[in-house]
Amino acid sequence: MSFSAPYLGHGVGLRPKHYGRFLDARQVVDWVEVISENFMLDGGRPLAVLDKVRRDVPVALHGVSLSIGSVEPLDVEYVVRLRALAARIEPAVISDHLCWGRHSGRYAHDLWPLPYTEEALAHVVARVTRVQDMLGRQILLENVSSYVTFHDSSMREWEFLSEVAERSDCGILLDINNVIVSAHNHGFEARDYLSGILAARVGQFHLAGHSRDGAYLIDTHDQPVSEPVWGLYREAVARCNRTSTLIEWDDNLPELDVLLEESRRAARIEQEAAQ
Amino acid sequence: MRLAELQALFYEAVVGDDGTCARALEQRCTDSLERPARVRVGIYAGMYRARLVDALRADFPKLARLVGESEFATLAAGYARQHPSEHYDISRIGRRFASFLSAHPETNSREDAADLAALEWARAEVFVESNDAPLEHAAWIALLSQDPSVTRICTVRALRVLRLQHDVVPVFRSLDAESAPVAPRAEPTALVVWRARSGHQVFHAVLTTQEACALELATLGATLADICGAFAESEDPVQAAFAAFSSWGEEGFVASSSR
Repeated sequence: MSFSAPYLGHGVGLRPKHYGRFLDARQVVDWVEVISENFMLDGGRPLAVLDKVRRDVPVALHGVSLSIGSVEPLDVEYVVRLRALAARIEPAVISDHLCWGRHSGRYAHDLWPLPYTEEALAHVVARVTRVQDMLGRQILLENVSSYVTFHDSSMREWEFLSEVAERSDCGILLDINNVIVSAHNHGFEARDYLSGILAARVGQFHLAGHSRDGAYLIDTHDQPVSEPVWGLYREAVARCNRTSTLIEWDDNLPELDVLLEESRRAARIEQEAAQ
Repeated sequence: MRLAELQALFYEAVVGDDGTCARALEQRCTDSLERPARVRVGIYAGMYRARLVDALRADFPKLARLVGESEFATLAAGYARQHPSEHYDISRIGRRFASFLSAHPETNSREDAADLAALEWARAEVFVESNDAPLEHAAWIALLSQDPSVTRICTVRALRVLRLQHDVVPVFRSLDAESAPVAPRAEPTALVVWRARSGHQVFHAVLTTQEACALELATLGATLADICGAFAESEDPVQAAFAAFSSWGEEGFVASSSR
């Protein structure tokens, strides 16, 4: 089994507030990532925008509702819809999260943590394998920010994620911000995560902002990328060279230029690491 | 604890109101003086509710402005408790919101809240509906000249006909202009919501009772004769039908091919 993800350069998340800018002119950005579920539609403006943007730059599909770790039966309609969207826009990458968020047919629309047990590992590996078979391609799974860990866990998150990737032959989307947030909330060293993750399977980085709420860091995606995240990113690019990087920003979204500047900063860090 | 049991417990602790499950989950989670398990589980409960309220606010921005942020948050949270999301797309969460408000009038301060919600939801649905090519003018005229007893028309999918208890168009307009909302106006009103023939702008307009009935029949696949019959009680049925059909053709209500 082998893994390779295309190197796309430095991109930003495409959000409705910035549709106009992308429709008006081609933006100076290497690629964009969109939330898959926002485009699993039959028609209308969002799809028209995506078609236009896709003609200009590579697009990655990033899902939030696959619920790969849920014990519920896989939502086959969801995967079929995702496959149809992928056939339409030919994304460079398809990704989702290492988490669960569906129970009794109901969606939480949140990224809930898994216990890192052998049972959960076997379950997730089987699900990823099935999804990849249905899609006819590899996917990337992203580490999530978390606020609880379970006594039942028998391995660290990076060990679990690496095992999932190796056994199911999928890639890893390493969210540097989520590493920082979880490290703070659970009291481990972010560098341990970085050195423990299977670098050969890392196909993409996410960079985002977070907020502080008392003793906790919360993954809010409503701020600039923090300095600790930039610092860890610098180490990450040195370890996993030439890996596509994305700036994620969802709430309190600033003008597109702010995101593009953050993206350029990521590019500069990568260049410096390469020298 | 098995994965299935843990997920069931987690779901009940975060989504449900029963503190017993939350306390049971806390026992399964790491705990410390600085970061107690109770607070950790509470973060997920708070985020779950906030996300659903945010999603509803995104689809019902005018209703949120009409009733105010606090009342909207209470309404949205009550709705989400009764109607948890059953679809992978969070933007579908609001599909029963208008019915919920209508069934619980005591929960909202504006008597026209449910009708405004129905209008906003129809607009949201039409915005992302399937793209059907509208019939061109010449083809529409040709279709209308065929035997009405057997001819059926097919409306585009990006079209909704609403029957409301209040005329919410002035309220919508005032909120759109970010001015003070006008007072509720209890008056049965029919509206059509549709997407522009080209581009993706969404419009709505008031219909006469007859035209609303005719358009509803058209969406159900009735014959042209039955559709025309909806105008029978108009002062001038022929003129009324002609005016309506002209407008349908111009605005692109009729699809170029049947589905």
